[in-house]
Amino acid sequence: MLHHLERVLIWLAIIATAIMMFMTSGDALMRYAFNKPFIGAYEVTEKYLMIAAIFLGFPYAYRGGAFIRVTFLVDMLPAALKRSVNWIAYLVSVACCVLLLYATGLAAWRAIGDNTTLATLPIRVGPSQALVPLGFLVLLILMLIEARRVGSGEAMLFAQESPAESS
Amino acid sequence: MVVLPLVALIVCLLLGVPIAIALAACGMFGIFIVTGDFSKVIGIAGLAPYSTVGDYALTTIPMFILMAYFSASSGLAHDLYTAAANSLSRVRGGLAIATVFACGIFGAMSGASVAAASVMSKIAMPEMRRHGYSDELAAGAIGVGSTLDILIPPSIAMVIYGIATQTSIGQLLIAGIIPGILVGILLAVMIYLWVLISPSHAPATFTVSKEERRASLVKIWPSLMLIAIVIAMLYTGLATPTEIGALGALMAAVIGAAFGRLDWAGAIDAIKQTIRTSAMIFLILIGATIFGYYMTLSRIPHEVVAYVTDLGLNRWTVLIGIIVVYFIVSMFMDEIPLLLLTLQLTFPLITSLGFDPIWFGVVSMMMVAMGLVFPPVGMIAFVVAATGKVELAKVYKGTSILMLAIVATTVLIMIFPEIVLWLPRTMK
Repeated sequence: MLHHLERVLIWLAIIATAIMMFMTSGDALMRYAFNKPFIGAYEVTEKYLMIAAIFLGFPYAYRGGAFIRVTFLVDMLPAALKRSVNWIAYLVSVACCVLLLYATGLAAWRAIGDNTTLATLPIRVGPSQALVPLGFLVLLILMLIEARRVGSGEAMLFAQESPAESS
Repeated sequence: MVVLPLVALIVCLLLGVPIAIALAACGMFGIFIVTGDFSKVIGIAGLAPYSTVGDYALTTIPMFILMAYFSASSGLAHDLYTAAANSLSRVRGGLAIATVFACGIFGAMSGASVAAASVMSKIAMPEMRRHGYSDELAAGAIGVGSTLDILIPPSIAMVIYGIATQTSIGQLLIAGIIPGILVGILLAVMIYLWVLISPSHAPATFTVSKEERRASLVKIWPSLMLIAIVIAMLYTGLATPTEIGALGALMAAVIGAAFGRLDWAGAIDAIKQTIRTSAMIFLILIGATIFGYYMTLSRIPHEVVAYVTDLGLNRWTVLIGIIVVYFIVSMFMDEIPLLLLTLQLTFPLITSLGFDPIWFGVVSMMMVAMGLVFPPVGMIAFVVAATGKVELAKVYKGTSILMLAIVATTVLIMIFPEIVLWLPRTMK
C-alpha cells in the first residue's frame, strides 16, 4: 500500500518537474520571440509545480538518503554510545516531523477553505497547500517504520546520499 | 536564554541530527523561547515550508540540477575529458591539466562540485593511472579541479547565496567566471611546475593522431554551444536565471537525445535524481527559513553587528576572521548547509562593514572550495578517495599542494576586487 503510494507520488513529482521545464522554457521563448507568454505559467509553476515536485518527492528523496548530517564526531564514538546518539537523532527527527505535519496540516486545512484563486487563472490556490502535509505525512510514516533499524544505524535517516552514485 | 537554541543547534549537529531537522527543530524552539507563544511556533512552522518552496526564483535550483543530470547522463563529461586529454597529450602532466579544464567546462554545465568530483574520478582516474601518473597528482587535480564548479556558472551554491542574501543571482553567477578561469589557469601552472620539479609524478608524454584529436574536438561542440548559450543569456540578461535553467535543461536533454546518448529511462532517472537532490536542498532551506525567523525575532544578527562595530576592529580583521571560520567549518560540512547556516550572521556583518555583497559571495565560495578538499574532512577529498579508490592521505597530499591555486586567487581578489566586480558591472 505504502509502496504504491510512494510510486504514485514520485511519478507525480516527475511529471511536475518535466512540465516545469517545458512550461518555463516555452514561456521564455514565447515571450522573447513573439511577445506572447503563457498566461499563468509563473503562478502555476510557483504554486503547484514546485510544491508538487519537492514535497511529493520527499519519500523518494528519503529512501535515497536525503538528510545531510555532520558525522565526523558520531563516527568516532564507540558502538554503544553511537547507538544512543542515533536514537537521539531519530527521536528529534520524528518529533520535528510530527510538529511540521501538524502545523502544515492546520495551515492546509485553512487554505482549502479559502476561495482565493491565482491572479491570472481561475484555479484555487488552497489545494496546492495540501501537498505539503502529504509529503511530511509519508516522510513520517517512513521514519516510524524504520524504528527497528535505528540502533544499528541502518535506518534511511542515516543513509546520506552517496555522491558517488548520484551521478 | 535567547542564545540557547543556537547552542542546541550546535549540539544537535554534533550528535548527527540531520542538518535540516536540526535547523527546523532549533528554530521552532527558538521562536518559542523568544515569543513564549506556542501558537506562533505553529503558525510560522505551518506556513514556512509552503512559502519557502513556492517561490518562482527558487525554480532555478531544480532546473540547474536537471541540466547537470541530463549532461551527466548524456556522457558529455566523458567527451570533454577525452577532447582535453587528446589536445594536451604532448604536454608533460597534460592529463592532469586536461582534468582541470574538463572539470571547469563540465562545471559550466553542472554546478555541484561533489557530483563533478564523482564523475571526473570515474573518468579521469583510470586514464591517469594507465599513463603512470601518481595517485597524489591525479587525485589532487580531480579534487581541486572539481571545486571550479562552485565558481563557474551555473553554480548551485551561488544561487543559494543569492537567495539567502537577496543579491542578484545573475550578477553573482557572472562574477564567478573570471575567478573561476583564474583558478583553472593557476592550477594548470601549478601542475606543470609540480611535474617539472618532480617528474616521477607524471611520466613522459604520449602522442595521439591528428584525426583522433580532431574527432574528439568535434564531439564536444554541442556541449560548448550549450555553455556559450547559457553564459551569453546570463550575461545579457536576455532571460532570467530560472528561464535559463529550464532552457539549459531542455537543451541538454535534446543534445543527449539527438546524439543517441539519452534514452527514456535515462531521462526519467535524471529527473528522479533531480527530485532527490532538490528535495535534499529544500529540506535544508525550509529548516533555515524557520531558523531565520528565530534569528530575526531574537535580533541576534543585529546584536552581533552592533557588538563587532563597537569593538572598533579594522574591517579587514573582521573579514579575515570570517574567512577563517568559513574555511574551518567547510571542512566538516557541505557547501549548501554551510552557507545557509552562516550567512544569517555573516552577511549583515559584512555589508555593515561596507564590503560588496557580490564580492563577498565569491570570496565565501573560495573558502568553501578550500574546505571541501582540505584535511581532516573535506567532502570532495572523501568522494575522490572512495570513487577513485585512492588512499585518503594521498588525496590530501595532492589537494593540499594544488589548493595553493585557490589561495593565490583569493589573495588576488582581495587585493584587486575588480577581478570579481568588473564583469557584473558591465552587465545590462
